[in-house]
Amino acid sequence: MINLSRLSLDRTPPLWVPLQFMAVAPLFGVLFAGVMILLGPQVLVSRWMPGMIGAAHLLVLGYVAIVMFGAMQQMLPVVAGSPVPRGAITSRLSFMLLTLGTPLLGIGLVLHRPFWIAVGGVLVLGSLGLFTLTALIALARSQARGPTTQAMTLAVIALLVTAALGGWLAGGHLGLGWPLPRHMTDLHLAWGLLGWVALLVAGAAYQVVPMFQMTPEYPALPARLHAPLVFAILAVLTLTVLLPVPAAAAKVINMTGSGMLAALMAGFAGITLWLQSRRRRRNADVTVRFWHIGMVSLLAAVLVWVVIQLLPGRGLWGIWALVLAWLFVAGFAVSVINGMLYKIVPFLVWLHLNQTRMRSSNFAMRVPNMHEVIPLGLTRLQLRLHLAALVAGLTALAWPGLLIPAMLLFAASNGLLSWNLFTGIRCYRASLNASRTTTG
Amino acid sequence: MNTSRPVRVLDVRDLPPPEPMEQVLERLPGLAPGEILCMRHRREPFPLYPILRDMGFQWRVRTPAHVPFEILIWHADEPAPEDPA
Amino acid sequence: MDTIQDFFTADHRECDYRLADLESAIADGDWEAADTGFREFHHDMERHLQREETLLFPAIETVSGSAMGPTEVMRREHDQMRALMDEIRIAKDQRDENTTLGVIETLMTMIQLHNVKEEQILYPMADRFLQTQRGGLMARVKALEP
Repeated sequence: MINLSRLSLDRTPPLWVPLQFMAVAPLFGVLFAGVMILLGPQVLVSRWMPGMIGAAHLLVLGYVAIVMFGAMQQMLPVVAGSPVPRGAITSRLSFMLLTLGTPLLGIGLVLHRPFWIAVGGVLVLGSLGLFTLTALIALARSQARGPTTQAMTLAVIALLVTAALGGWLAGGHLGLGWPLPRHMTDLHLAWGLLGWVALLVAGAAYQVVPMFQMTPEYPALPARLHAPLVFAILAVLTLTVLLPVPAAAAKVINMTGSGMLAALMAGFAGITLWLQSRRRRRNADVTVRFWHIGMVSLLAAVLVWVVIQLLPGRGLWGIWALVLAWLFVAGFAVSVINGMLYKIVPFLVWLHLNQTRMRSSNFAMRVPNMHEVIPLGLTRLQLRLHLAALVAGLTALAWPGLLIPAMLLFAASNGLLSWNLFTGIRCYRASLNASRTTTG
Repeated sequence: MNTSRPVRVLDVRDLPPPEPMEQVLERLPGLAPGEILCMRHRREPFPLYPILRDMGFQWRVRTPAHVPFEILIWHADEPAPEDPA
Repeated sequence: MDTIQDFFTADHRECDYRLADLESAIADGDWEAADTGFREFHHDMERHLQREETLLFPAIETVSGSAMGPTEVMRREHDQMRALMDEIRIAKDQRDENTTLGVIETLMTMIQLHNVKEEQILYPMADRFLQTQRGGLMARVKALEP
């Protein structure tokens, strides 16, 4: 006799928990744009400007992390058959801590308010700690052992390392007594962007790209090896910093390691684009286009990285570091997330309305299809705004005077995204109310 | 002893953060070729250094007897100043 | 020999492709192709669902001793898919392009998420627990026609 009681295939978390936060998250993109406009073009002089560091945290924690938390809570029961333990409470708590902590930390960094940085930082660390712990429990309980759960597990651990390094850096920033070596910041960035963001996107891609776009499957061996290799290289680079490695050897390890990371990122983007070119669904909906933009941006980011290596002085400095960051975060991460939101939110609205209809046996209740949840015209307009903002952002890095129009476009794009997602929520409420009047 | 390069002194010892950083970033674009900015600080401004590098400046830190930290900043394409005693 | 995983996964893909082709026909405004496409899709889909409901699921339920576990959830989702297929047929017969595409998108998403659960969890499990009887079971599965 086999025990199936722990295997849950229909534990969808309550609709409200992820949806509200996902709809609010793009507003952090608007906040980021607003802060950048207030800081003015001179902030573009260096990635080390305190204003830039603060603004970047608003975007990466407020937007990227919040949506990824929500998306993972939806995905874990499906791809791993294992929901986040105590999902309703832990997710609400981790979302709330993050939505409160992020603006405090981000604005605190911009304005140099040690108290805000400390309080915001503690809230953010609490949220990340709670999320990573519960996600890891869910993943450990899972019986699925595919490349997706593997990449997700490593991504979550990478997030934990990122948070620990971030906490250490914030402590140094606040003058708690330890120094602030620059390479710690580089490690914090590498674990956060290449470990957490890129591995989670890859893990999700193995599922959603073949699934929604009907492409061939990702080739098995690269999909199996990608995440462990990225993770192992990050670990080696970190150990090189922590252990007394001779400078000459450290240099060789660094060059080889970062070169391999760049190749792995380019490989993932290249394979994804190649699969998409062979998709069976010929209609390119907005999600496919957002994925396209994301993968092309990732390839462009790798190209910029190679150019930087060929420049005299070698190192991530000046405007080039910001070009790389913009391509990776706004071009790659934000595009992919934006595209996924247009699948996740309409489907969840449909799913929950449909479940309501089934449970209440109210078959007269009309459930809108996915295209009716968010009007397609507005999602297409938002796609164009996002693309325009992306290009304008790159242009502004060459001509800083264009920062304001670029950030206005970025704010408009994210404002409209949030509006579109709230339209989905309104559609849900309206359908529920209509169903109550038909039954009542 | 070559002391011909003009030195501008910026004393931020009594300013609360983030004003020291703001003040130095405000002055740097106006630093003429050959000039040296001498920043006096009560602690070492670690976050400033990578920004200086990105803006195309070089720096040296001294700890003279009368100031906790003194940071000399000059354009990166110029030779390092000799100690302006 | 065919595993349960391999056979049913391939069956999923064939249904997926039928649905994708139906979607393309409607997006192109080719309603005749859409009528044929829907018939083929509906046939393959119904055959797949019945292969699971009448053969695979009962086998799993016999070894697990319960009809209440994951197979019950899968059956419920099958019913939701059938309801969506009806909606597609009605909208297609009315030549209502927007609604047809919207419902196809919904069904496609629903099917995909359902497939993941089966392919990642249910089929591997079935292969493990039904090893001894797999030969006979698969012969009946392949012979089934609705």
